[in-house]
Amino acid sequence: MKNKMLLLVLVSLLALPNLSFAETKKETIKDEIEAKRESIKNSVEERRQNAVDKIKERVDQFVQNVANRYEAAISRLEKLADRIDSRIAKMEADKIDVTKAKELMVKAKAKIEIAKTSINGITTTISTNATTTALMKEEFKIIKTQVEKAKEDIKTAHAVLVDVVKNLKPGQNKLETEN
Amino acid sequence: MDTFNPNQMPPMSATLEKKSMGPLIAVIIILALIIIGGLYFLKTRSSQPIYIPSPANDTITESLNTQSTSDSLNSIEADLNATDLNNLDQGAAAIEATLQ
Repeated sequence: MKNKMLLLVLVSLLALPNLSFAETKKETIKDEIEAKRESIKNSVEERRQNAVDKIKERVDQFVQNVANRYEAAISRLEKLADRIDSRIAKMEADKIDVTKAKELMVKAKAKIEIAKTSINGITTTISTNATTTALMKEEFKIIKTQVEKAKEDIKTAHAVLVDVVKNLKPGQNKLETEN
Repeated sequence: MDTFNPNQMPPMSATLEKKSMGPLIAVIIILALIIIGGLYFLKTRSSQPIYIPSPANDTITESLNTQSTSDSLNSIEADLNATDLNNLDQGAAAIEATLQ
């Protein structure tokens, strides 16, 4: 009995440090796993953020391009309107009836102003609140609607200018025949 | 002269097993090649940047900025006809595809 007790004490003494070591090792592995998990989580988050930033950059670049094109289109229509005005003035001096053309010019200029307002209404950048592609998609939908509206307004203004020129043609032909 | 000895024939089940393994391995190899090819394609596709012209070299803007100064009706009409407004929002489809 005494021997058995002694043996038990000896075994306990030998096993105790091993148990403590195993506990420490378990803790270390747990910490390592936790650190690895955190690192993967950060890496995934970083990648996602990079992808979102890239898309945002593309959208901003696109909107900037569209804004430049629309401004160029408006500037072109305004220059065309000036040239038409100059032609109307010359034809009027030559006693050609340009009443209808003048009326159409007032309409064309009003349409150009409407198009300008539509262009100013285009959201130029994706907001910082759009932190996911889903949110950006929603914002882009709004931008696209504004872009399409402005495009239609520009087209309408252009169509009225075409009408003015069509209206002036018979008078111009008459003038050329007389000369 | 050799005589036919049925005992020299390989066991039937072993031959069948070998035969059935062949096509299976071939299918696995083909599938692996398809998967690798697909992954390679996706990788190359995702790394390709979508071309969005910078404002400096946008041909649409450039063409809109070019017109005559003459006030002759023919010249005005020619410039009106040359005004292409259909492609003003070009690039929207590419952005939409990116957002899908």
